[in-house]
Amino acid sequence: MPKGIYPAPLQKVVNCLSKWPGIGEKTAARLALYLLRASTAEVAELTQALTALKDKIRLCSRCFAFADQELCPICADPDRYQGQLCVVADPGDLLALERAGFFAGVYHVLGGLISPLEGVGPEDLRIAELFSRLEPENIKEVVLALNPSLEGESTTAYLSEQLRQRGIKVTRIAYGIPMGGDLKYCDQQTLKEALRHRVET
Amino acid sequence: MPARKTPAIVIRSRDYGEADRIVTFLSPEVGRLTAIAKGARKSKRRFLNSLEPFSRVNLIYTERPNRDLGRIDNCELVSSYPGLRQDLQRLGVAACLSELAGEIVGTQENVPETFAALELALNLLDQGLSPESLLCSFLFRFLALAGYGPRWQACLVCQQVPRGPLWFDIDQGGVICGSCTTKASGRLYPLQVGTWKLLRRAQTLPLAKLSRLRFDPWAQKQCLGLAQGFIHHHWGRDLRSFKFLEKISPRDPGDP
Ligand SMILES: [Zn+2]
Ligand SMILES: [Zn+2]
Repeated sequence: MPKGIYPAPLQKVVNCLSKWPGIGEKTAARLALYLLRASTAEVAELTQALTALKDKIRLCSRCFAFADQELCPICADPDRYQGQLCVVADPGDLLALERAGFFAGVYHVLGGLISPLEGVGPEDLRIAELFSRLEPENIKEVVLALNPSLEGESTTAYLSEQLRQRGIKVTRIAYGIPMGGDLKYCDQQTLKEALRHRVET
Repeated sequence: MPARKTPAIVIRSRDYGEADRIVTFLSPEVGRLTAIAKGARKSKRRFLNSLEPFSRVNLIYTERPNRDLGRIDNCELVSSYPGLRQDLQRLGVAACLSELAGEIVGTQENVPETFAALELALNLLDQGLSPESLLCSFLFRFLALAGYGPRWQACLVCQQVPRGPLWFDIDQGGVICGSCTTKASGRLYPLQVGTWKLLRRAQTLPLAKLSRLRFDPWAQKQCLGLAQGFIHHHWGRDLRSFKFLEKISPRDPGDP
């Protein structure tokens, strides 16, 4: 912990903020100084919001996304198509897909990926919970939306096999060239995947 | 510092901060080396895919004065061994062998041999050969390369060709006849004659022929137990990947 050039209470806030992702010492100091100059009401609102964040947010009992009720807003929404279930590794991936706004079904958050080097096996993820949803929710198709990394692909292969054994249609998101990308700069494996998953136009 | 070019295998890869990735490689020329790919996850840098574990790559990197981590300038993918991702058993074995290879190169001179053995093992796993048999034969081959190869040819006590029932002395690292166990000093594990014969061959067979050895489920179980005990004895800890293998292994088939 740096000793610091600020009075102790200010230094403390700087230290706290500089632990945040993407925030260095300088930005933390700028934010702390902003808070110091802000109105008491504004700081109180932030304090309350932060406390509520830890108190009220929990995991959806069905899909394990963030929720402030028993069910998350997506699981509670009757307009979401229930027969299609999209599997993601973590809540951040779910939010990214939701921002794209294309998928109309429901989700399941695994809470990580199979990782041999970190000692993470299938039973460390919410895979049993996924399987137990298939029948009661009458799931017709599971869409696997996991990163095209070693861990993501291994998890995809494992889940595909397991789901197929249970008679469920399994699909996965396409791997290939990013939008705005350049064929010349893609590695061979990406190009192979892109060709393999080509679609009729 | 000038940039260096070397063939390499990625043995570990982890995200660092918002956009960087720190990668540990095994190189036949340099041994174990760790370097950082700055901004690898954000930019459209074209080598992110080649920084995945167990990839065979051609690496260009620069050592940085007064820093532990070199800088990855480029990393060209030679093979990602895609077959590993199709099967958890293959994946787990690849992880075990990579982890062990990375562990032992720091301590000895057989770096090119260790690299060649790991590259071959990954190739064979990718091709779909029995991951369990490959694990047993390559685990002990790596230990031998590191100078920890157990003595399989003769009994540690009487120095004769060992006679059953056989035991393995974890501390001394070798085989012992049933009748010599009273004079043994280390912790003893039972060793089936069939397993002993396989391990003895695994030590002397040329690398290219190692994949011919077939370990049945009992021999696999015994080998893995021995290797785990032996590695724990020498390093004072287990390989992380052993834990993964245990988690994905089918439930105990019972005792032989
Ligand atoms: Zn939910
Ligand atoms: Zn003897």
